[in-house]
Amino acid sequence: MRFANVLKFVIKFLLNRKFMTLLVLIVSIVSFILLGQMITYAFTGQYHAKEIEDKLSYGIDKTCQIQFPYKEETSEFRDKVNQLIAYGNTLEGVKGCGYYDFFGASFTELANNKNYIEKNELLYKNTPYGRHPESSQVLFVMEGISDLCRVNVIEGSDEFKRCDDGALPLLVGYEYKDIVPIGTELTNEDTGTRYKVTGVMAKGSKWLGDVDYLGTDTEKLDNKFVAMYDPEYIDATMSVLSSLDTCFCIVEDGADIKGISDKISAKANELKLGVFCKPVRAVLAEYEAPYKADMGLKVLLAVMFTFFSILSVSSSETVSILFRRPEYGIMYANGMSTADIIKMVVAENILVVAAAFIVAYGWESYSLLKDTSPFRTIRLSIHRELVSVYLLAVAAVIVAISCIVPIAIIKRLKPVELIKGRE
Amino acid sequence: MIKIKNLVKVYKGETYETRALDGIDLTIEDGEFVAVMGPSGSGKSTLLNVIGCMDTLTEGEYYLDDYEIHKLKLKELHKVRREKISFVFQHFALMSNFSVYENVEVPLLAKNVNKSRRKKIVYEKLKMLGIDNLADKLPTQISGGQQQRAAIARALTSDNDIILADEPTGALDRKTGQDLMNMLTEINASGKTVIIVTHDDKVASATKRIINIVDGRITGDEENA
Repeated sequence: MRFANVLKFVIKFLLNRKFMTLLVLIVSIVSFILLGQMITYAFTGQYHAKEIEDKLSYGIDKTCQIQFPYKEETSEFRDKVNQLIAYGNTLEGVKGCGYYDFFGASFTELANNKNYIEKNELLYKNTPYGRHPESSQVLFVMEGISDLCRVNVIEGSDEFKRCDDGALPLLVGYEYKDIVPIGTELTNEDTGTRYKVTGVMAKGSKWLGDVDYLGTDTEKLDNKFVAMYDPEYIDATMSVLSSLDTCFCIVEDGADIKGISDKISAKANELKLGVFCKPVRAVLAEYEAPYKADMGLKVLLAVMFTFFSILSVSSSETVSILFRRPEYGIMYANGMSTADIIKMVVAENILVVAAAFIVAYGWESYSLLKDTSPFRTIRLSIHRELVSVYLLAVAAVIVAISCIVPIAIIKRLKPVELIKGRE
Repeated sequence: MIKIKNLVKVYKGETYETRALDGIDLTIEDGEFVAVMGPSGSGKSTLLNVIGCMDTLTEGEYYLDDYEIHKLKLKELHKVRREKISFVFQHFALMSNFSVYENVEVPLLAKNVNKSRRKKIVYEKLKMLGIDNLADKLPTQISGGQQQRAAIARALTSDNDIILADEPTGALDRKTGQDLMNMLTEINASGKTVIIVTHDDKVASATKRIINIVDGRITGDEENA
């Protein structure tokens, strides 16, 4: 029998047993949603670690984080930190040392730029920044670690050095490429420091977060500027203090990381600063340790939940199909074959499970798009790359298992037994 | 033509063995109008099911036109059933959640007839049986007589040569039963072979040949004047 004819019967069967179909659909949808969520949350940490690894230009082994477990809100402390950074930059095998931070800043030349304000009103609509569209979101990064993250410059120069006229380099996000072109000079209204636009960043450029780069999503740079750390801020205690969670040291190929780390620690001790200097790999391992301990349990729960989902959906589908035996008898009597009936069983299961998959996956996609949590982007990636594949596999298993029992019964039954008893 | 030689049908269970048909020899020519009679449990419905390829033989030979049915497996019988045989059952065997139109359409769907042709054939048969105005009704919304007409319309849509009717008037009142027999007589007059299983003498008297079965054996086979 043609597939269209099979489908005609299947749709009719499903509509005729609306309540049963609805129940099976609800069970399947809930199962798919819960499984999807379990997978998404279980893999968020791993995806984030991978993203950090991919984002760092020199990888997680050659990028070290300088951690300051103790901070002091004094100018002495600030000066010691800056001395330590300056010392780090002089060490053999060190490519660069420094810190970065995202600040809101105002550039005098943009304060009355109509196009810029309109663009920001659009970009920051419904966010706190939307109230001050004339201000700019700037990543201030020290020269030594300006290439900490991979950022492609699509126009201008990717060299992040002070310009010949003394102005500091500034890269513009993709969204501003036509509004703030290369060569534009900008003045930091707070400090009077002069900046000059030297390049435009590629669309989709990202940088690590500034508060807790391991615990939060990466920052998109499309609607931001990247500027060399303003010297005035280096002398400001609060600015330096707020940047210490993102203090890094990049080492060169083949450098003695342990030796460098020891020297930085020794210098810190000499300055009476307590610091740890370790590769990001080690920092990540410490961060993930408690999550990894839970991972086994999460995987076990996911497996168990998958099993119960398969069992519940399969059994309800099987019962629903077996209720229909008299109809199958009538079909046999009217020229249909066992293969035709089996096609109906399979098509019905596929239809129900596929509908449940689409609703559940659509619902989860919608929820994630509306999600405002820090890991939204990562969760969307997991949802797209991992959850979709896993749920499709579970859906295929549900269809296969749901078909086994009814097909076995249908194959064993004789048409005469379905439509009428023996005389 | 139907030709059966020494047909034996045995039903086996774990604790029982029933010989439902025991050495049936029978030939039915094309276009015959036959009644198979016998008391309950005599094996007449089993004979109908075997003839209709709804069940297999345990022993013997069964030839239906060019087919050697006794050599075919159950799963191969559907092709013969689809091409040669139509059924009319005592309790109509209509799918309760499908409209009259959809029920009558079933054999055409099995034959992969296209939609426009299906519609033409179904309405033609419904009109022929005077129930074209009931096409959208569910079986539960029409009378027993109308349901049996729908079942006959379904049997006719596939235009098969053999029509097997198992107690077709059993669930109908006398007048409706008489109307139904008149219809089956007309169908037989159009050249189709009609075989009716019944225990009603009046129904049997409308046919041209009466075969009696007792305990799975033919005890009588005579022309009906």
